[in-house]
Amino acid sequence: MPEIYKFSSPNGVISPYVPVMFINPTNNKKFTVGALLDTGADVCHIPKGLAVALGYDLDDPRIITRLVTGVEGTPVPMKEIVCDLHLMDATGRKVIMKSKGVQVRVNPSDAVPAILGTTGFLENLQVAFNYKTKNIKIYT
Amino acid sequence: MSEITKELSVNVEDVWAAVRISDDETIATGETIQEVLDQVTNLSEDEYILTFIPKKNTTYIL
Repeated sequence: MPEIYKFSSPNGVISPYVPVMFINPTNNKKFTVGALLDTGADVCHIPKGLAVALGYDLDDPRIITRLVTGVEGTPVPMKEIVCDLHLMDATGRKVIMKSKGVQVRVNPSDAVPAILGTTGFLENLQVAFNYKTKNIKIYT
Repeated sequence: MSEITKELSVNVEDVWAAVRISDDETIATGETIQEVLDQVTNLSEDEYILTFIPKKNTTYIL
């Protein structure tokens, strides 16, 4: 049976947000976030404020910086951290799928949502978007 | 997941909210995630969902 989620439309445009728990495996800090399913994103990324809240030291020289190119075409340097991601059910209470050791890029801004991309996350799922009924079905 | 941000009354600069899982109530909003977290220190992390609030007059291409 798939897990069924509803699209959100906070700004009048329906968008596929699902609750995902982001966990820092080194200290077990965790937050559940409404994250955007983005089939066009190669990797997952999160706003800087979430990475800091999870306890990542972004000034640690051991954290790799990678260039990420978005739709504007200009490569932006982003830190790369490793998180465990738990896809939650529609209520945010029950874990549906666990992805461990996912490489996540940190967006320097907080004015962006958490993005669920292909590597380490979407590649593990079968997702059906129905924009007409405003439902998302996820098969794990 | 909650659709609370449909009706949410927020400040112009707010982009994050905390939504309580038990009743879908928005319990905090803020311009940054830290600003929101500072308002929910009485709750444990599994009691709320951090929710992005897209701006009404902004088109997102992510």
